[in-house]
Amino acid sequence: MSKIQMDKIVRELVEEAWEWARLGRSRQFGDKDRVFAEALFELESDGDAMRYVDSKGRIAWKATPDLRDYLNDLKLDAEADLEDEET
Amino acid sequence: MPRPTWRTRKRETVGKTINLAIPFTTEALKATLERLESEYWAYQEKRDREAVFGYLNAILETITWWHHAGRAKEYAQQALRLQRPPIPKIRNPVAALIYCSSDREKIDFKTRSKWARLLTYAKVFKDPDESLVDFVRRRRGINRTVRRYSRLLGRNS
Repeated sequence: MSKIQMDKIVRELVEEAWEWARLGRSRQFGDKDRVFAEALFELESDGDAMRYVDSKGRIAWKATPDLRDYLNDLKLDAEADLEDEET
Repeated sequence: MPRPTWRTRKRETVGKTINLAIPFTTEALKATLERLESEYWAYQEKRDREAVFGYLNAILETITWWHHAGRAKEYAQQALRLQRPPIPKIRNPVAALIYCSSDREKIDFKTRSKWARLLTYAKVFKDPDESLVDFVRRRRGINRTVRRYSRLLGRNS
């Protein structure tokens, strides 16, 4: 399997899946590319990741606008909480 | 919004296994259509004249990878079959995807056809690094771009 092109968010998510698989907590430990492919399969079906053709003409993966918005909201909440704690 | 889970589920696939052995499932297709619908309604809520390019760019991105995978017609027909009947016969995958993700009362055949021709033209001639809005701006608007496309590739391309 060739290298899978991913943006930073999607890479973090599939690497997290890999870590869980490696630790044997959530599934049988398997080949890294296989775990990545399964994680991408899940993310795409859940509407969190999408495929696209990158500027080099390769199929690549990136987070969907929905997931980006969700993560952005989380970040803003965390920042607001931090400000509240500081005041 | 529920976060990703890593459990393995059995899913019905649309066509054969593609791209790095990651199948494009019916659920993935539904998620794609939902995302495109959100882009459509986001465009409808904005007063900005160029807001339509957010939606059209999302369609272009989807159709480009479907073509790259050699499955554009198959996925577009599958998307049509997921719609409520009566389902019209739409052969052009771009037009089918627009039909499946926009308001049918508002986006009539003429608009759909114009957007489909614009995106087919952009798919062939747009530089991957150039945004769709810049591509159309350089050609002084959607109508001029479509006319240019019709001259170069023929109306039924």
